Amino acid sequence: MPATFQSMISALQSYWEEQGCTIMQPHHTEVGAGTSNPATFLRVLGPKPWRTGYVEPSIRPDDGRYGENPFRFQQFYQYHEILAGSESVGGARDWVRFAFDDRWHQALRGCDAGSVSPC
Amino acid sequence: MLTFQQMIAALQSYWQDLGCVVLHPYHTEVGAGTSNPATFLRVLGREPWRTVYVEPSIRPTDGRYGESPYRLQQFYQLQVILKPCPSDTQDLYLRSLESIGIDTARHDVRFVEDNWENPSLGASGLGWEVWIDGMEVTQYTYFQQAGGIELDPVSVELAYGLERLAMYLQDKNHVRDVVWTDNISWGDIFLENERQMSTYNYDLADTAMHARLFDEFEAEARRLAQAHVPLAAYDYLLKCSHSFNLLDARRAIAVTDRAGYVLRMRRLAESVAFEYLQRQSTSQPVHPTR
Repeated sequence: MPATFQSMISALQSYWEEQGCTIMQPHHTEVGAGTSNPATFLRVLGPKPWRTGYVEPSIRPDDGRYGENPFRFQQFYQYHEILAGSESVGGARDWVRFAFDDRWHQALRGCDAGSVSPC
Repeated sequence: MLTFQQMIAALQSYWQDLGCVVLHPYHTEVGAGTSNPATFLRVLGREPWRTVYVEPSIRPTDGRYGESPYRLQQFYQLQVILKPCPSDTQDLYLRSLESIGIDTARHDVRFVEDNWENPSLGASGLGWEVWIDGMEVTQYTYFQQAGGIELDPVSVELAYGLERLAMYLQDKNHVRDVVWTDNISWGDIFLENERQMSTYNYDLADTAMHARLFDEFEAEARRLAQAHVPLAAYDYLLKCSHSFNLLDARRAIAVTDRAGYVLRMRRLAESVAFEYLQRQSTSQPVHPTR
């Protein structure tokens, strides 16, 4: 298991690279989520196949807690993954997206309820 | 042959093994990796710091509508900072080239003196361009001043021009042909972006809006520096700088006004650097984790 934050990122990147993903970089202006990076928002449009993975600093002013909260921040990192346009991965795409969404919402509910282990 | 993304991963892993913190591009437009707070602010003060990160460099006046083989309004740098500067930096740099398959003994690697200065950041240092077989691939700088403050210790900055390095490695004559990953070229990803953004930068950017934004961002940065939150102030200095660069691309800055704009940004950079050091001396120090 990767021992550090940065080795976890590079492990995810090399995993998705092996699945044929183009490894991109964060976008150069503030976004609330990796979804807003043009590598997702624009590339999912149209029929052209596209697979990408990238880190995105998500800037959410309303989530800041002056550094006092253990897991709510006005800036956090997402690892964003898009698999679009290939019929053979249609199921996989749905699975990936739902899985990530579920975890995400669970995490948010956990935060709202004050749980310390939402995921 | 390494693809563009493999080359980045190889360089990151090389510098990570030397104790660098791997960071990410900054979330607003910067003209170079130097402007990322992970460089501009971390080189201030005495605390040791080593980092490596990719930075998309946004330089509106360098766009050529995607027609030039290597002039771009957006290109990627790989930025490395070693603070304090180790005595064997040149050797470490040459070995980083070996890590991406460049046999430095068999190629003409030259260090061409090119002292560096960024007047609007109040930053400067002794520097060299690194040329391999006639292609400039890296800027190598001993950082001596930032925000008008003399640096002690001195940091060394290595800024690799990734597209040029990839063109050299992959033997391509035009950046659009660089292989980003299997079956995807640089051109597939960014050629249309160069065309549209060059059109924006040179033809469409609203100069009255950017002049107004510059004034407003400047006022916000000044107010935030006075409120002792230099990190937030710095973001607005960067936004000033981007608006300035767009006005410049639109030729909306008279020769007589240029020095005034640069001075206004330099004053902000100085107050941000001053406040950053003040804040560091009163709050918990931040150490890179290993």
